[in-house]
Amino acid sequence: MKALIVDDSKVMRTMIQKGLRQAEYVCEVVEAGDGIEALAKLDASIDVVLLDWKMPNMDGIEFIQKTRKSGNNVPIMMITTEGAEDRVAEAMKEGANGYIIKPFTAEKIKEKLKDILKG
Amino acid sequence: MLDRALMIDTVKKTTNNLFIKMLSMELIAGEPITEKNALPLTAHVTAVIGFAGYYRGGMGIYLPRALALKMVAAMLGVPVDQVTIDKMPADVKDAIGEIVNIIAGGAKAELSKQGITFDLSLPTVIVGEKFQVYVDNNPERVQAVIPFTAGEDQLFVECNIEKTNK
Repeated sequence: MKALIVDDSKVMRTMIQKGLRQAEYVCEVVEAGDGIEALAKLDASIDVVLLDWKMPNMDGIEFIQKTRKSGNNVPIMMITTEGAEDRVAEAMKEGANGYIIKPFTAEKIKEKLKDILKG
Repeated sequence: MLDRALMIDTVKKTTNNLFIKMLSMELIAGEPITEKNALPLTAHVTAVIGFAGYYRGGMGIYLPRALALKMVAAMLGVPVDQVTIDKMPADVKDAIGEIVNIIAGGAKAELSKQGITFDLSLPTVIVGEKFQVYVDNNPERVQAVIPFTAGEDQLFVECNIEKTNK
């Protein structure tokens, strides 16, 4: 599996990568610090996107909108501090496939990824 | 409706949640400080974040050096003796800033269920010692400093919120 991890925090990208390993997902990881960089790195080889919401230059929601508008249906998992119900609903409406609220555990990543990858 | 007990409970809950889930550390909360006072906190790494919107205020987390280094090491997945503030200031700033962002984000989500809504600023991280945090008795504002114990280390989380005219 090849995962694109998008978060403006380098430490958080490292933690998500560690979570993927602990969740027993053997994967190649590509990293991006914002939505613009993520769009540039999103190609057909990416199996799943793990996406923060609040980032400089282009946030997670705009990344989803542009990705879906281009016809790309890659599974997208939000991993964000935005935990209010209306924010979760907004992300899912725009085209996110799953949602994890920080702080997260490796078990939560495993459970949620299993859901969206089987879908 | 906003009251001090709700804010304190929320901050305790979201702080504990982060330390358990992401750092595998157990915290013990102490008695919150709510009276007007100037608190000489023993902290070396501090991260603050602002609230703005229908409610405004902010949150700060005050960490002793040893605990800050343990937290950064846990987040990066490296031994604590490989982490130094002087040699990796960007990682320390990034990690501790993310900590306050996650705690405040959890509080924001919890309080929004009670109609207390605000947006978060970007976090600011400060390295330095010997400063004071003031708790005032502004009747419009609820404020508290909550001490926590993590093993042999003590940290503080300060939070203040008040309604705006929006």
